[in-house]
Amino acid sequence: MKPRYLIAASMAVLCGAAWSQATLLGAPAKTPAATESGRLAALRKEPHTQLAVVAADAFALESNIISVDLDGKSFRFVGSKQTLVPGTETWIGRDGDASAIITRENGILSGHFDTVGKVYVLTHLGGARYALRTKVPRPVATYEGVGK
Amino acid sequence: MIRVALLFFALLVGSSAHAITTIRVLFLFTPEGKAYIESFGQTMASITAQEVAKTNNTFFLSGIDAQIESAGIIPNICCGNANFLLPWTMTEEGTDALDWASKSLGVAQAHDAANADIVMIISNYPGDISGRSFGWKGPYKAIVGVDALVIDEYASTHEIGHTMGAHHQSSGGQWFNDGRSTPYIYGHGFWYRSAAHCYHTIMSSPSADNGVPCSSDVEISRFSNPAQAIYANDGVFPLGSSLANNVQVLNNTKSQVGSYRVASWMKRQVFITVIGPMLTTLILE
Repeated sequence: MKPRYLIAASMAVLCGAAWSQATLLGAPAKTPAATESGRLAALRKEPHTQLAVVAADAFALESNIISVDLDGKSFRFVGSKQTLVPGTETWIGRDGDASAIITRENGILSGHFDTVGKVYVLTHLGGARYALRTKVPRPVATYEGVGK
Repeated sequence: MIRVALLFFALLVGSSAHAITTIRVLFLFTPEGKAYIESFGQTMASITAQEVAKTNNTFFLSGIDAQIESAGIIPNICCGNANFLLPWTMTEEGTDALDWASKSLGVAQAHDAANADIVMIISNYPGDISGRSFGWKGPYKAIVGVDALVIDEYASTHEIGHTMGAHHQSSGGQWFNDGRSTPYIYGHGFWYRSAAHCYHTIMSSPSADNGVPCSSDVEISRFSNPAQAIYANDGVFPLGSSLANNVQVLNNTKSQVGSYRVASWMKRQVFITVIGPMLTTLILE
């Protein structure tokens, strides 16, 4: 076999392998487990949906701790679930003076996060999409806390 | 026997001094308020749960020995926002809440049927971004109207504060300075403004520009309380004053507001008219 054919054959094998690998990389997306994993992974990368995913995990795991980063500051809310209105569950947690209130109804989450100086509101956009918005821009770093 | 009765009475009074009072709030939604809430993916139930939780959290962190609970949710009350314009043109305490309720399409009946203390109306009147309260006036009713546009902040907690006798700041705010001294002279919200810090408590409004520049006013989700403070990087800052002590007001009035419901009123009457004399007779014997 002439060298150029050898090179061409090698290239074909390499391209085939690359195509196969690409297919394999894409293939897991078709399986339910990988879809869920991929969706959550993608959601976690989006700042505005981070809280929704963390909150959903907390509900699912019956967790009493929710850890989130808001504006570069880490919060570790400690709390528990209550039923304040029939058909809903509300998780109320505090980290010092900051508080997190998350309500779940039929799997849909809504939330209110108060970092003392800034309020974030979590609203459902449909499907697995959530928006995290702050109604009034407020400096968050200025205030360290409110105490008795 | 008398000594035992006195001891029992003292224990009763002592134990109730710091008891948590539960205030039942009935949530009524106008069609417009309901539609607005649903337009951003929420439901009446989730909004109600959030409002209850937010208010209770604020009570707890402020040092108020009270909590609210939902007395129920009623959708599509009334027949449109226009009906809320008429009562809202009243001055805050100029007209008795009971009078307003009696004219308001079954609100009073709904209050009684739900055994509620306070009625909260979630509306969405265009152009109006604030709540209304007719509180601290009716003999057993208080009405709160909260615009759905601001339901995600602390509007309902603010209006519940009014129903319990709390007022806005006494002076210096951007809107609605309130110099009233009833039921308590110290029942005002608090605001603070300096070059480094601008903030206000839940019953207050952003402070007016008094010559000190302020790029962004912060609402601190607390009722005014001279016993609490903000611990910032550059010092300790007040959350109340001699005229701004909403927490004291709410702790003073919680029991009265918590007995606006019909059942409590009836129980009280039964106690006064039946059980009270019986006990007195028993003790004296």
